[in-house]
Amino acid sequence: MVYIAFFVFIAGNALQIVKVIQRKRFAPTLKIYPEKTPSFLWALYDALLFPMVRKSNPVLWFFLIIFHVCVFLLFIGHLELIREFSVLQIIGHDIFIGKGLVGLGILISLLFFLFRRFASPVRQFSVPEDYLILILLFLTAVFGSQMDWARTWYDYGELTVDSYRPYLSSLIALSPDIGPVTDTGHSFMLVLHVFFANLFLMFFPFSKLVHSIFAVPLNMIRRGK
Amino acid sequence: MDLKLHQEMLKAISDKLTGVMQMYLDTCSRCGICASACHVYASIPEFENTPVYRAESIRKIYKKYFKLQGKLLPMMGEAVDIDDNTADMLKKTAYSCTGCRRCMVYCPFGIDTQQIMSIAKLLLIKAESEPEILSMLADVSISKGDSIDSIKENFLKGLKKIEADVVNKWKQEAGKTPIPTEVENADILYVALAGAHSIVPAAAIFNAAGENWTLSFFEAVNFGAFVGDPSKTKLILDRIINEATRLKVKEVCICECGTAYRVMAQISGTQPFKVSSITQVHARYIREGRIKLRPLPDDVSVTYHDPCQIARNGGVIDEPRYIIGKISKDYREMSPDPKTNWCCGGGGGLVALGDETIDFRMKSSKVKADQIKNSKAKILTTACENCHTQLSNLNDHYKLGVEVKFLSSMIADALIQ
Repeated sequence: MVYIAFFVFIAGNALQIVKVIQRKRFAPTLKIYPEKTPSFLWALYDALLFPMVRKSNPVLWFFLIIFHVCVFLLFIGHLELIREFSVLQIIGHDIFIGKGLVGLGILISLLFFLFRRFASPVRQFSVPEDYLILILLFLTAVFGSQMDWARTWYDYGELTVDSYRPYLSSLIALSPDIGPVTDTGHSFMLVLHVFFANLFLMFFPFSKLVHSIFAVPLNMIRRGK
Repeated sequence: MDLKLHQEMLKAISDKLTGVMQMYLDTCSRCGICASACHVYASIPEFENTPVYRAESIRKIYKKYFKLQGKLLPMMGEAVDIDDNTADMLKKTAYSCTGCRRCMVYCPFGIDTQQIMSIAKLLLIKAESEPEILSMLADVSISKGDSIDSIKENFLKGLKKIEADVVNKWKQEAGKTPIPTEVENADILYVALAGAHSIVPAAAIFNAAGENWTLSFFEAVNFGAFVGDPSKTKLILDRIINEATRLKVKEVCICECGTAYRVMAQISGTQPFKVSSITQVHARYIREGRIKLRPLPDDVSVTYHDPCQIARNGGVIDEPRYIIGKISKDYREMSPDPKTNWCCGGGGGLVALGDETIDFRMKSSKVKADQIKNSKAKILTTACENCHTQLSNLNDHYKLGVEVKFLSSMIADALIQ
């Protein structure tokens, strides 16, 4: 399932990008004035720091920043579960990064986003996809975090970085060996974590999650690039 | 629904599906930040008035016919068919959006709801459910372009009648024509609106600046853009482009009409002439010392309404402030940042629809009325005909007690001979 999920994720996103490129171009400018230069850097600023969200809804902005920073740290954390990257250790840290707080930050943010969906007017224009994505992410994060918390906070040392590395490396080498991670009391957590992550990855290219790909180009268009 | 109409509507969506439109339709996370950015929702806080809800009306159709998710799991995105109810649904969304693009400023992805609503407007045209009056006005504009000789005589007679008003504002040397037409190789082709108010002050200022100018036979307003018909928009635009090319003018100056300026400046493509708004031209005259203005008394405070299509969407932001700085010592900003200035509530063809929309226009622009009231200015000036009409209506409706003026009129009245 992991291979299918990654294939769907990569091929689906590539297809979305190709479709956008192949469609005809809209010639007139769609920029908003006043112009600020360099527009590319301003577009990055808009896409990564959402300044107008901060102005309009500071609480939502706070959780959005927490969420996206935590997603970035999780990405680094998962890379380091494959093997050690010295470049990622410029600022020295334990593996998994964040001492359990990254998962906590994600989960609290996701709960905020989910409860926000039940309040008006967001409730009225939300569609099932919006809830499904939040629930899938929550389930993925809660089972993933639980393994991290057990190891970091409760000294449950059965499933360690040394267990994940052979497993993840074998996946990348296309000869999966689940042995190192299935013989512990926490293996069912890992199975559920991977299962929900796979569902999430497969849904990604066909959902609003493509905003992670299109946010920068769209902001560049708004900035007049 | 008739199969042919169904297919035509699908083709209309397909024709509008540019790369950027696909991104606009795929990317929205329905965070709702755009809600409070919309003057309609800010004035009437009902979810139907949010930009995201309007965009969803198109997004749900798009998902059904153009997205894998909509085909396999339609309930995930609440994908909907095009059916007999589609036009009624789209009418509510398309014509409650003025196309001000304030929501685009706030959207973390920069999604342009006006662009998405252009699909809704096109679908309404296909279903013959667009506001009839806008289509009729667009057709009249196009027919004028087809038969310019038939309108010339009456137009010139009309100009004769207002020549004295121009001379009253600026006395020229004897023998000079106050309102020149058909001047080949003119430096400026001025495209006005129908009505003396759009010609007299502008003519006086051109004459005061010693400009080599000529008046267009066509009115600037583009009803094709209001109704959302790209082919009519182009035909109306082409009349002016052809006239400018025939006369070999160096610059086309668009009167105080936001849509006309944006259409000419951004949709006309590369042309052998420069395109300017009249506000830019007036600021240039003052900078170059070609006109001198008499300031208003010190106790006369002035505020300026940024027409969305000229300021946020057209980039003419500093020039009106520079001009007002020369006329008034007491200028008051309505918004700390002009790009977030509230829309007047009359754009997108709503003012052109007249009394049919007046109730909605007044209710949906309460935030604008509050903004004007809070400025405590005596004079409210703007550089767009639509905005002027809407602001005058707001002034009456909310008893704001301001004097609503065109910026060009203020300049013409302040000219020092």
